[in-house]
This record gives sequence, C-alpha cells and structure tokens, in this order.
Amino acid sequence: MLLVQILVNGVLLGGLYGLMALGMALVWGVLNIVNLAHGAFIMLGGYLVFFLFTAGLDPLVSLPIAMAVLFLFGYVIQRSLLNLIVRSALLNTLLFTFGLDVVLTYLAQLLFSADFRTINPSYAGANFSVGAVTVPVGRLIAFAIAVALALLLYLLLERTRLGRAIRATAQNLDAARLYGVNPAQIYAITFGIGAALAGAAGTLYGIVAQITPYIGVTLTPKSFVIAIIGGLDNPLRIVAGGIVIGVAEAVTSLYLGPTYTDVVSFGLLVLILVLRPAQSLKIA
Amino acid sequence: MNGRWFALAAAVALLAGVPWFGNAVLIQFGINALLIAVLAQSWNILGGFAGYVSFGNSVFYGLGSYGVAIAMAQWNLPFWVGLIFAATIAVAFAALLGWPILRLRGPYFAIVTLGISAAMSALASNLDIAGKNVGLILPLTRNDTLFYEASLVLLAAATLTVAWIARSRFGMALIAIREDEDAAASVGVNATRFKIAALAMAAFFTAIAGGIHAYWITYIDPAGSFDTTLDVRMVIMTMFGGPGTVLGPVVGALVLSAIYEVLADSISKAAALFFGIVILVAVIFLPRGLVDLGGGFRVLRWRYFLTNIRQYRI
Amino acid sequence: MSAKLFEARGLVKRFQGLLAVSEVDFAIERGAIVGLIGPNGAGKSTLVNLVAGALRLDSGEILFDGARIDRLPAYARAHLGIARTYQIAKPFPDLSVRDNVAIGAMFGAEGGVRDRAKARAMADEWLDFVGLAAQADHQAARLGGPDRKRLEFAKALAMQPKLLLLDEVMAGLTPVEVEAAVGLIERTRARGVTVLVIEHVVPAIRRLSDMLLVLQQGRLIASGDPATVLNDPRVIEAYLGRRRA
Repeated sequence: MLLVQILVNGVLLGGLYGLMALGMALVWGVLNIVNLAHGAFIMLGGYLVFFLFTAGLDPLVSLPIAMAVLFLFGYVIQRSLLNLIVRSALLNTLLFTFGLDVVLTYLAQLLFSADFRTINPSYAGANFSVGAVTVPVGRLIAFAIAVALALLLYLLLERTRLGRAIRATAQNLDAARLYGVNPAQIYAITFGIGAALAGAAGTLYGIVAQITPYIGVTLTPKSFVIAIIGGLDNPLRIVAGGIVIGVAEAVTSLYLGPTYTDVVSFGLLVLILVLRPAQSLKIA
Repeated sequence: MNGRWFALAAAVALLAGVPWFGNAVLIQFGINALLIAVLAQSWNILGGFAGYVSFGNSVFYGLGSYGVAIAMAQWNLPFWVGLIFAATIAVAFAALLGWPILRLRGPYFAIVTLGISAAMSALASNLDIAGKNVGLILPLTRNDTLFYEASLVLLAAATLTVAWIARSRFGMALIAIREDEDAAASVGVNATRFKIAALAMAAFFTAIAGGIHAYWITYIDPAGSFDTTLDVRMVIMTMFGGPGTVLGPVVGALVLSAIYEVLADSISKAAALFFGIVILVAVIFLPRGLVDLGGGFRVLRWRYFLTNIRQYRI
Repeated sequence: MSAKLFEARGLVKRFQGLLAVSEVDFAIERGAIVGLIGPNGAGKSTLVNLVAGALRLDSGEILFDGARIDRLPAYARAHLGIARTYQIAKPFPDLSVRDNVAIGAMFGAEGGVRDRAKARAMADEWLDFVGLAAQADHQAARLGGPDRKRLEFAKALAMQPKLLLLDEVMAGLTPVEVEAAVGLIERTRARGVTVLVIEHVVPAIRRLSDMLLVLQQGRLIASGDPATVLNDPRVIEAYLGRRRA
C-alpha cells in the first residue's frame, strides 16, 4: 500500500515536472536554444505569485497574471538580447542563458533574500482519502493544471495560425520567411510562451514545495531530462516524461533514502542520454 | 616577437616577486587568483579548444582537495604524495566519466556535467573516509609564500601545456572536433580518444589546484570542495579572456578576480551578480574574448562590436 | 594483392523500417574510376555514408584491401585509406583554407604526418593541385559554393587515400567548372587513387568512369561498362526516361 501511495505522489508531482519541461522543450525545439535560465524563470514565477499571495490574492487567480508577466519578460529578453546571438554557435547561446541564470538567481537573492518561501492557501495542505491512499489536494490541482496547459499548448501549435507559423519557423527559417513569417517576432513570441509556461510551473511549484532563489539549479537539468524523455514535438508526451521522472524520484527516496536522489537522478540522466540517440530529437 | 617574449618574462617575474614586495592580503588574494586561473586554463583545454562546455570541472577540484586531505589527514602521508594520489584519482575519474559522457554532444554534454558535482558532494558526505558531512582537517603549515609560488608554478605548467597544445597535432584534433565533429571523424580524428585525453589533462591540473588549496586552508568539507560556483567562474573567466587561446584564460581570470575583489569590498552582495553580467556582455560583444579585442579593435575601432553582433543576429 | 580494392556484399540499411539500401553488391578494382548514379532519393548518399562509416550497416559485409571493415568507426576507415567528401560541404568553418587541408594531412591514412609545418606545406601543394592556392589564407566559412567543393576535394586528397568517395562534387557547377572537375578526377586517378564518383550529372560521369553503377530505390538495378549500362532498358526507364519526360 505504501508503494501505491508513493506512486500516486510521484505521478501527481510528475505532472508538474512535465509542465516545467514544456517551456524548455518548446524553446529548444523551435529556436535551438537550450535555455539554462529556464529554472530561474520558474523561480521568478514562484516569487511573483508568492508576493501576490501575501497581498491576499489566491495563487490560482495569480496564475494567469504570472503567465502574462513572464510572457512579456521572455518576449523582451528574446527580442532585445537573444535575437542578437541566436545564429551563433550553440556554445554561445548556452553560455548566454547560463549568464542570465546567474544574474536572475543573484538578483533574486539580493531582492528576496535566501529565505524559504511557500505559498500556502487553505487547499495546499488539504487532502482526501481514496481507500487507503491519501491524495494531496495541492498536488492534484497542480497536476490538473499542468495537463490542461499541455493540452492548450498542443491545440495552439496544431490548430492556430500562430502555431503553424511557429512550427514552420522551427523546420525551416528561410522557407518560413518566404511565407511572410517574421522570424524575429516568432522567436520572441515562442520564447515568451516558454517563459509563460515557466511562470505557471513556478506558481504550482510554490504551492507544493518551497521557493528559494536557487531552485533553478535543480529544476533546469530536470526539465532538460524530461524534454529528452518526452521528445521535443508533443506536449502531452512531455507531461508523460515528467511523470516518469516523478515516479522514479519517489521510488528512489523510498528505497534508497532522500540523500541519494541526486546521485540516482544524475545516473539516470547519463543513462537516458547515452541510450537515447540525439538524432531522434528533431522536432516533427 | 622578441618584445612580446620580454613582456611575458617581465610579467612572470613580477608575479613571482609578489611575496617579496606585497603584503599578506595581496599574497592571499594572489593564491586564490592564481589557482582560479589554473582552473580556467584547464577548462580551456576541452572547453576552449574542443568546444565541449563542461559545467562540472569543479568535481576534479573537489577530488583533488579530498585526495590530499585523505592522504594527509587519514593516512599521515606527506603533501607531495597526497598530490600524486589526488591527481591519479582525478585523472582516473575523468577517464571513467569521459567514456560515457563525452559521446554526448553540445547541450547534452553540458547538462550532464551540471549534475556531477552535486552527485559527488552527496557521495562525499556519505563516506567515512571523507569525514562525511563534517569534512577533514589537514596539518597546519603557515607559509603563504610557498603556497603562492607553488600556485604560480602550477599555472605556468598549465599554460605551457596549453601553449604546446596550441601548436600540436593533438590541439589540431581538438580544434577540428570543435569546428565539425563529423567532418573531423571522416578525416581520421579519433574524437573520443582526444576528448578523453583533454578532459584527463584538465582533471590533472584542476586536481592539483584543489590539493594545494586544501593544504593551504587546512580544512575541507563537501560543500566547499565540490563548489559549483567555481564552475561558473572558470567558464566565465575563460570566455571573457578568450577561449581556445593560450593567454586568454589567464588574463581573464586575473582581471576578473581583481575586479571581483574590489567589488566584494564595496558592494559585497552584488559581486556575484557582476559575473553574470560580464558573461551576458561578453557573449554579445566579445564572442572571441578579451585577447581578440586588441587586434580587432585596432583594425575596426568601435565597428568591431557592431561586426560581432551583425554576424549572429537574426 | 587482389585486383579488387573494395567489395560490398549484400548491404542493407533501413531508416525506421524503410529500406534505404537493399541487398547491394559491387566491387571496385584498384585504380578504377567507378561512377554511381541514380535519381534523387535512390540511396546514393546513404551508400557513401555506409562505406565511410558515418552510418552502420543493418546487414552485409564491406571488404577493403581484403579485410572486413564494416564494424570499424569512421576515423579507423580513414586511417586505412578511405576518404570522402560531403554532398553539402563540411569545412572547419573558422579555420583558414590551408589549415583545413593540413588537418587532412595530419590525420588521414595511417594517421597522417605528425609535424604541423610539414602538413601545411603539403596542404599548399594540394591547394595548388585543385586550384585553390590563392585562397589559402582565407577563412573557410567565407568560401563560395564551387570553392567549397574544391576545398572538400583537397582535404580528402591530403589524407593520402587509396579510395576516394566523391559525393556529388559536380552538382551546381557550371559546364566549365564541370570540365575542370573531370580533369581533376582524372589526374587524381593518375596518382594511383581509386575513385568512386557519386553524381547526378550523367554526361560527365559517362566519359569519366570505367564502370557505372545505377541505384534506384535502394537497389542496384544495373552495373558494368558505361555504354552498356546506359543502354539498358531498365536504366532508361527508371532514371533517364524520367529525366527526359
């Protein structure tokens, strides 16, 4: 029964992990930028909602606000800075987002202090029982919203004009230009959507866990691994990838102890990367 | 050419003389700056020449610190035996680790390296011989001049090694890998072997730097030894100075260490922020580093920066 | 020493279930120029990648100088004396044209020459051979299309190969440039290098080749003396017929 409980926890948390990875996978697939500041974006979303919460706003109300603010933030970063170097070697974009991560992390430490923060509306700590299994309400809400946002992203990419433009840009920049797409604009919008998804993930992360300026350090690699497991082309498969990692983590900390989760998740990362060839990762 | 060699020799002599005309604070700053310059120069071997960005080289620093600490504190061996032990462990670890992860390219490799130090730190805090969470205390030797000169010799050795790489077939192989790994393979470059050798060389110098530092500060623990902010610094210093060049990482490390020291004195909390800003500016305006600025700026003046941007923007 | 330098037996390669190369057999004699033609998507480049070691076989055998090489990685095949060019040129972009070729000389067959100055001197000779000597100091990334193809050629020659695989080096060239390329390939053979020329442009290759191979949808549908092969009704229908239509 303990195992079932662990599995439930892992699956629910995994949905949130999937949401974290969505934005990173989208940006990676379309812009060919691995955004090492993605975890820092999640952190910013978390802090924004935390402060709105202390001002009396329910996090579920703040969620769209966080998404909108992060969208703007991402849009401006891409339009004004990243677009300047987007065609240079991967090494350079990687380093740039790494620098961005450092700036955001230490800025957050300076402005918000290193204290642990949690967003705890009444439902965050609540739970209910199904048979012998306890279902935490906070995680359930996070899971539901993550799946809903993945669905929305899927519909956006497949069913709208903007989605078609994004996919065309991902496949062939020059061809997209011929069809009247402005790549600079599409890049900025895509990066903005990626940041907005990070904002949503940060909101939900603040409900189920604690926020510090440094959470990005672990969330960025985690998002990366999930993006690889799920592939870059299908949002729903990325959420599934998140669930895989969520369950693996829950099981590890049950059987080996929480100090080993870092060792195990690092080993898992290497294993997945070595076993899964990189060429299967092109966006469809 | 002769003038350049003379300038270089004068700079080295000046650095070597610091303990005789500098005060204690300057010597201590010097040890830290020289050691971080060793880390940057080591990172340069794989990162600068072969284009493989590692965010995990601090693991070799940690292994070096622990190697010396275990040899001296647990087994009562002399320092130099500890250094050999530390370097051996780090090189072996690099070879073992390199085999699976150096087959990964680009962001895959970079991200994997992000996790290494955290994993090793967790391991160290669970091992009895490493003193678990508490760490280890080394025998005390108060001789900052000795530590300073040892660090300088190590930096000189690392830089001479990189100077050799820059002129050798080995270096050409690394550069070919950086430029196009598939094309390098079809020309006959055994990429895996060269990359592992490059990582092992980096591990060697990095571990010795860690060992010297451990003996100098006489106390180590998991968090301080497997310190991921070191990764941030060595990458930024190399990129700022000029990746894939012989003197770039050294210039970058010494310049940024000095600026950081001044900033840390006046606005201590914002000093870390400064590194992040440096990297943002450097990637946009100085994609080939500080040492490229001299020649480029002389020819193009302010247009140098514009040319750099124009090349890569969308 | 057998007359055959190279032999492929029953080569098969699938991409996600789709057959790209299917049961292909052929042999190349020492000192020959062999042409490989076929419509777009026939599997020509896949075949080059299989021979050079950039892709692994699903089944079949490749023999070079009498020894199995199909399990060797690309660099090891280069050491044995197989050099290739890429259909879309792959220079080392930030390096000078001379250093690009020098890298070929420093690795290549038997691991190449160790000394960098010597490799550069050799590079200059090869650049002269392909007519790129004037651009030796240029950055490779700035070369135009035809010059890139020359660079690929020089880089491959500097490896001192026994077998040279040329993947569409004539595509996109003007008639005058095609003539130059034909002359270059003939002079390369005169130096004792065996050549496999993959091409879309039939007239040039017809004159050049001692033997022609025709690939269609991954299968070898004809092989032999160029005149006979090009009059084979299957070839006319499958490849030339469609071009005329």
